Formats: sequence, structure tokens, C-alpha cells
Amino acid sequence: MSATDIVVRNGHVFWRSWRASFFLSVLSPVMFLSAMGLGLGSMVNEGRTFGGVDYLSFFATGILASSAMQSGVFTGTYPIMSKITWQKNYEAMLASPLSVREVFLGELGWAAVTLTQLAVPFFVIMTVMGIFHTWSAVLAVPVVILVGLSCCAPVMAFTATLQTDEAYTWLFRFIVTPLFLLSGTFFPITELPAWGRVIAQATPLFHGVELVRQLTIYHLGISALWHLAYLFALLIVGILAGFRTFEKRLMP
Amino acid sequence: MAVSTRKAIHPPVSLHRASRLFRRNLLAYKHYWIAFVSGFFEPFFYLVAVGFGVGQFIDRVPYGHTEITYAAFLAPGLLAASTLNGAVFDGFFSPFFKLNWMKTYEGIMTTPVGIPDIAIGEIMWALMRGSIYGLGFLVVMLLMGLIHSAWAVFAVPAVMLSATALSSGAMILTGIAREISSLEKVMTLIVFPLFLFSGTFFPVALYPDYLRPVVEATPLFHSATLLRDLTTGQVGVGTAWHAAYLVTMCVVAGTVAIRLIRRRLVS
Repeated sequence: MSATDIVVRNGHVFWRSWRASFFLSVLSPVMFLSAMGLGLGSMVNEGRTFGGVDYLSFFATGILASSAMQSGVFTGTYPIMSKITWQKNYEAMLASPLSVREVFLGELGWAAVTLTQLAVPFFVIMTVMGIFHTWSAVLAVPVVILVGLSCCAPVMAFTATLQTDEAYTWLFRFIVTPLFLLSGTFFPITELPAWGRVIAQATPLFHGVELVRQLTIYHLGISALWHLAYLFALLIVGILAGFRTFEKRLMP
Repeated sequence: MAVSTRKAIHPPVSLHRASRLFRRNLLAYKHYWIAFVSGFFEPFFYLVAVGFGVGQFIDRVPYGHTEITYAAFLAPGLLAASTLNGAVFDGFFSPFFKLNWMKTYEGIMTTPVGIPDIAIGEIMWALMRGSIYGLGFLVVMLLMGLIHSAWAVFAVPAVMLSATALSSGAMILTGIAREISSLEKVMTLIVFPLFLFSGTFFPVALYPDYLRPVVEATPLFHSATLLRDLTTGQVGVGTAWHAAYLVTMCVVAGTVAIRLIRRRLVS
């Protein structure tokens, strides 16, 4: 067996497992959109619109952004912790000319790849469902990737400060899930009490959801710049914090 | 003698020995109690966001002989879904790792604790956890005014029934699954569709005629409807049928699960 056979064989395995997981990752949003958007949406009062659109469009655009947040946060947790603590991949990498910062940015780059793989099929499904009416909707794809990265970078920075994975239970249950449910994804934040609105407006997901909706189903306004600036700022803060915590953890 | 040898290999189930496994899980969880406690909040967040948040845009839902608010419709559905989540976690994920990775059961089997004891011990553990969550959620429902009938006291045993039936079903998966990728497949192809489509979030009356019988055959549909009948007080013959379905599932799925796991461990 020559080396090329190994390459072909590995490529085959990769393609097969990728195909399976790709199928599963497309199936979940389709099911979620049908259950909530169509099932629950059909119960929403006749004539009630969400800023001029029906519930399916409102909900689907929110889910597009929030699934990117969830994926971004997840990519920053167990996979990174495993490479720092359990499998110690980074120790091996850092024995090469790679710097800690390059390792951090490389991981973030891979997160962008997984986010693209999530966002593109999701976007295509929504297009098929007839949710988008403007060409600017395409811009939602890079925005969604940005949302995921802005959530991923600070979480990666946080992971480097942890010794065990216990904190993740808190992170997912008490931060990610409430953000997912209450940042304007399922219903407009105007329905929240005043204090809830203030909190929601401070979260990255709210800005992501708003920006996606302005590009896809609402009119693009000047506030889009502010949402974009918020997300970029969070990404930069996350990267700077990540440089620090990774260096502290991984430099001898 | 052949007969006594067979008895020695497959001794009858003993609750005493099964409870040893239960205690093992309790000890293991002492270090991980946050995960235990925080499990309660997931359905609570959903109730607030979907039940009350989205519920504001929904008219009253016809149910039985009456009409209820959307939150009152959703809450028992979430209660049932939480027993499903618990069953999948305690009846499948955790035994899967113990069986295939940590080899916990192989260690246990060198002791007098046998395979049926292991299966029943795990189901007992799942049942305890599910009941605690269920009870907590029922109290929340009571405080939020989502319980409309005294029949709701029977929701407590109904939650336990649902937890046992669903964990028995999940244990079958433990007996079948061999690869880590099975976890993702089970979540996407079984758990998630059940969670979304079993009459938890919207009534089955909204389905087209050809889909409704499919939904009405799923265990979570029976669990959700049983609990909804009890908390809204719309109790009838249907209620008994849902309970009977779940009891049957406990027996059938439990027997199959023990067989499958025995085959895995003995081979």
C-alpha cells in the first residue's frame, strides 16, 4: 500500500463522515423552522405582524443569528479545552516555530470555517422557503459568521483560564440559553419589561439578530453601523483577551 | 447441574443490588451537583420565552371542553419534554460512556451485581432525577397560575411513569449504539423531532390528516397529553389510554433493553 492510498482512504473517511454530519446539521434548522415558524407561527393571531413580516420570517432570521452564536460559543469550549488540557496539542505545536498568537488566530480561523458550513446551508434553506426579498440578504452570511466569531473569541479566552470544564455548565445554562431565548429571537424585545430590554440590548446576540433582520427582512438603517461596530469591538476585545490568557497559560 | 449453573449466571433482579448502582451514581454526582441543579432551569427558560413571550401573540387554545392560555398549553408539554431530556441523558448518554469508554459496567459485573440490576439501577436513578425536576417544575406552574385542576396531584406519578417509560426506551439505544457518532444521530433524528413535533409546542390538530397518526404514536405525545389532561383537568378515557401506553412501554422497552445490554456485556 503506497502513501497515496492512505491519502485516498483518509479522504474517503473524511468525506463520508462529513457528509453524514453535514446532513444532520442541515436537518436540525429545517426541523426547528418548521416546528416553530410554521407550527407555532400558525397559531399566532391572524393579522399580527412583526415589523411588517410574518412570524416565520421573524423567527427564522433570529434563529440564523442565534445558531451562529451557539456554534461559536461551543467551538470555544470543549474543543479548545481538550487541546489545552487533555490532549495537549498546543504543547506540540508550540515546540515548532508557531507563536501562541498564531495558534489562537488559527483556531479562530477554523471556527470561521465551521460557521460558514453552518450559515450557508441555513441561508439556502431560508431562501427556498421564500423568506428573503432583497439582494442585500446575501450579506447576512458574513454577518452571521461575524456574530459567531465575536462570541467564540471571548469564550476561547475564557477557556484558557479554566482548569476543568465545570464552568461550561453555567455558561450554557445561564448565559447561552437565556440569550438564545430572550435576545429578540423568539419575540421582539419590546415585549420585555424595561429592565429586560436594557439587558437584552447589551448582549451581542441582540445586535447580531438586529443586523441580520435589517439586511434581510427590514429596511437597512443607520443603526446597522452601530450593531456592526459592537460586534467588531467584541471580536477585537476577545482576540486581545485571548492573546493574554493563551500566553499566560501556554508560555512556560 | 445445568439448571443451577444457569441460575448462577442470570440471578433474578434484586432491588437491593440495583440500589448499589443507584448509590454509585449518587456518589459520582456529588462532585457535579451544579449540572444536576441547573438541569431544572432549561424548561423554565423555555416556559418564560415561548409560553409567555410568544404566548402574548396567541389566542386561547381550545383544549378538551375548554380553552386555555398558550402558556397553560405549553407548560405540561415542557414538563414531558424535560422527562425526555432526563431519560436520554441518564438512560443513554451516561450508560453509553460507562459501557463503551469507561468500562464501568465490566468492573461492576465482577461483583454480585448483575446485568438486570445494572439496567434497573440506571432506570431508578433516571427516575429519581426526573421526578425531582418534574416536581420542581410543577411548583413553578402552580406559582404562575398554570395549574387549573386538583387532578394535577396525579401529575407527580405521571411524571414518574413518563420518566420510567422514556428511560427504558433510551436504554434500548444504549444496547444498540456502538459509535460516538451515534449520540449526534440519536439527538438529531430521534430526540429533537420528538421534542418539537409531539404536540409539545402546538396541538396535533394542526397537522394534516396523514401526519397526525404518526405523531400520536410517539411516546412523548402520550406523555405530554397525559400531563396536559391532568394539569388542565380535562380527564377522560383518553387520559387512561395515554397512561396505559406508557405502562406498556415500561414493560416492553425495559425487557428489550435488558436483553440487548446482556448481549453486549456477555459476548
